Amino acid sequence: MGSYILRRVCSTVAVMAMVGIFVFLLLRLAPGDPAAMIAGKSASAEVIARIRQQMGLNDSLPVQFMRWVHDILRGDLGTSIFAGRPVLELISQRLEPTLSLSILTMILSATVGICFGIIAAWRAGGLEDRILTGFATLGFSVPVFVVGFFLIYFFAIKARWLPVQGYLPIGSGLWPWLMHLILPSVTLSIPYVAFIARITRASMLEVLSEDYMRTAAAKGASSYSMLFHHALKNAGAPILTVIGLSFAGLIGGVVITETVFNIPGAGRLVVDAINSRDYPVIQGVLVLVSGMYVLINLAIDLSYTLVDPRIRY
Amino acid sequence: MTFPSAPIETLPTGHLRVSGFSRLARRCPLVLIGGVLLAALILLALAAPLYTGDPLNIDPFKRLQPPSAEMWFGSDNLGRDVFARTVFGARISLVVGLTSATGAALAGLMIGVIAGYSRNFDSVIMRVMDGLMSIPTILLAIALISLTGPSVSILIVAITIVQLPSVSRLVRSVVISVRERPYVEASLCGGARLPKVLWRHVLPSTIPALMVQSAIVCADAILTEAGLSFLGVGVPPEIPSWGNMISSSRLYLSIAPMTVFAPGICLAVMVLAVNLLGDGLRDLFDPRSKRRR
Repeated sequence: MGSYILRRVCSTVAVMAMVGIFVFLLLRLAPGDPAAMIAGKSASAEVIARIRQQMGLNDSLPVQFMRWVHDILRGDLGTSIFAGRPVLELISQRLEPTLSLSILTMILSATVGICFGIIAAWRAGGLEDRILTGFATLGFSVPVFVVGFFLIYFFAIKARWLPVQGYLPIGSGLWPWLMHLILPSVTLSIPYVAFIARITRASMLEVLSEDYMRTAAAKGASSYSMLFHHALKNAGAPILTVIGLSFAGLIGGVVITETVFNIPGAGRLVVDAINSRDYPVIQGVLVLVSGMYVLINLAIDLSYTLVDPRIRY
Repeated sequence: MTFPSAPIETLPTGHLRVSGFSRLARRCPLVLIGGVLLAALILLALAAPLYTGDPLNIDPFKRLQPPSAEMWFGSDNLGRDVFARTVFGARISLVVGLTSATGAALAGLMIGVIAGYSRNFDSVIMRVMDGLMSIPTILLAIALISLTGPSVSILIVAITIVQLPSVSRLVRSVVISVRERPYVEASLCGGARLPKVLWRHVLPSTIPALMVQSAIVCADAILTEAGLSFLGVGVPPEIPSWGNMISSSRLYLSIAPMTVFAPGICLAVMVLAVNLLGDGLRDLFDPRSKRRR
């Protein structure tokens, strides 16, 4: 067990190092001199040279890389070229909408997806199964922004049940906050519902054909108890993995959903940073997001033993 | 909208045995539906100039017109024919989807075979792939594109790189399972050279899984292109692509919903066709999975 955790942590560090090198090189490969970008168009060569010296751009690449990593470990993600403020501060200002949207979407996708998967596996081959499997294929195929505009058109513009766009902080009341997040999170959750439902169904079908399920049926367990107590617990590990992996895609989806619904979150921050070529901000968000993804997956891998005590390392 | 591929153990490694068209239709209707739908879309896109007007023609007097006999899907905010733009937009999606799928399949095959066969390179290559995988697809593609500015070719390269990890992981897993098989060992013991063994015995067994994965990659690439164009960092804005169309028309959603819905529905239909084809191929190559699924 101990050696497994150690190996797993080591490979996580290796992956983060790869991400770090990649993201670091991204800034170096970018066209244009970062010092010239900060100095502005009309700056003289002397000013640019001084900024280069200040930023340490004259040192060798490995030295610069080590310094950059050191800064990140201290919690300094650099300074935005355009806003002139620390990247971490910019990101943390935009974090609330993004986290609200992501968490709500994950809760929605996990509950609905697992329910759909269980129903489809329980009625395998039947009408419910066909409908849900069809929905899953469709859910994979419809792009987030198309669903978003359909929902906006029918539920916000035509029916006027929900606000069209925008975001209200949770501080302004739970209900208005939720009202603004219903359409975005439903939109964003559709592909994940499809994905989680598919994996849940496959995993449940595998478990349902096990001998102990026949034993459970023979001793007279109700179908509720069979599905939830006997099957779901044993089918849990793959479902959990998939929910963890979904986070990577979720963040990409958040960028688009925030644009569709005009939510001032971290996703908008990246898109704006790219349009203005604000590389420190792009770097900072990439490092943070990838780090989160890697840590979530590490936590999930390590929690297998909790879900399924049969797994030992 | 990127997903990690399905768990590897559910993916097929069998061989393809099909005799006759009707048998294919009976065994795997999905391949047929998806294939016909995709073929129809490709034909419509290729023949676009024969039956539509100019997608770039601006007519300020016909802005945001509702659908009519002259302009089937109405016109957008610059008076351009939405039907013509939608049809021409299919070309971009198809080009991006098919080229990145082919590119990712070929490069992934090479990387996967090397990683699966050489224990020295394996851990290095796989850590690099893990690193690439842990950066969200859209952000990674955006970062790559931000280096050069938007263009169709750089978009294809970026999407191909983004898709590499899933393909090479899959190929690697198949290669690892095949390389221990008796027939591979027998052939090596018999004195066959390694490249020949790879070509004759290892490569063919990766083809079914690779084809299924290529379909998934293709669907994903089309969605990524549309998403990037929608964000304004994909195809340059003057080229009619579905993502660009939705992006430039979204302010007029309440006045002219067709300008957003027409490209949106086409996008969904195309991705659905590719996904059905992929699902069908999976069933075809691995009949076991169909019974289980």
